[in-house]
Amino acid sequence: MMNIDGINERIKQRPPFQMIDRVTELIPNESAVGLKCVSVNEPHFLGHFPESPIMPGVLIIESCAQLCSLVIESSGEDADKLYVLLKVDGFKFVKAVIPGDRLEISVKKTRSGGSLFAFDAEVRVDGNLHAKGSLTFTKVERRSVYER
Amino acid sequence: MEIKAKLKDFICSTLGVEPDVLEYDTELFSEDPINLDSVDSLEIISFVDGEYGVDMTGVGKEHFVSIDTIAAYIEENK
Repeated sequence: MMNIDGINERIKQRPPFQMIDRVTELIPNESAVGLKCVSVNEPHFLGHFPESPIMPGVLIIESCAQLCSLVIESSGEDADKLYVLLKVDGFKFVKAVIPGDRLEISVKKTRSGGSLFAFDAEVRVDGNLHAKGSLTFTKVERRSVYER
Repeated sequence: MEIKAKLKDFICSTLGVEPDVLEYDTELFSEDPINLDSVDSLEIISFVDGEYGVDMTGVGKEHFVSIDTIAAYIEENK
């Protein structure tokens, strides 16, 4: 298990853009299960939507992506490399996520090769499926991202 | 399944290309009719690496022209 302290050692995202609170299972380079507790205090609920707070789908995807990055980077290798989201496929938002929900996020690597890593992700609340889809990441040179 | 047939199957099933418009000599990255992009090329590199253990990272564009040229590169380097 990894709490927020351990997560902070592995990923660079910070509040208000930190979307994984705890990791309950982690098999490096294979899979992980993580938790994201949704609070009405999160800033995006000011506008999404006034009087009807619903967690934006893109942030549910971001939660899955941050958990995937913990699977890929669990070894802490490659300081000069950056793993970036390359593709989002087939995401479905089956049920709305609202404040008070605890997202149980499962990600599992489906393939890797070349510079790609692909994952299937599922998001459940109280055991019920709320979202699912696939994410693909690629590894790039850190400096190449900022060279224009 | 031979290499070309596997490549075609991957390109159609994963990259969303219609089988009817994809022949082994069809140009994959020209505007018409396939029009794959750089993200698709990474997908192809990943597939070739995983399926045949051949790393095409950094390989010249001339090897990515068509299924024929990719298959030829795999045959030469596997």
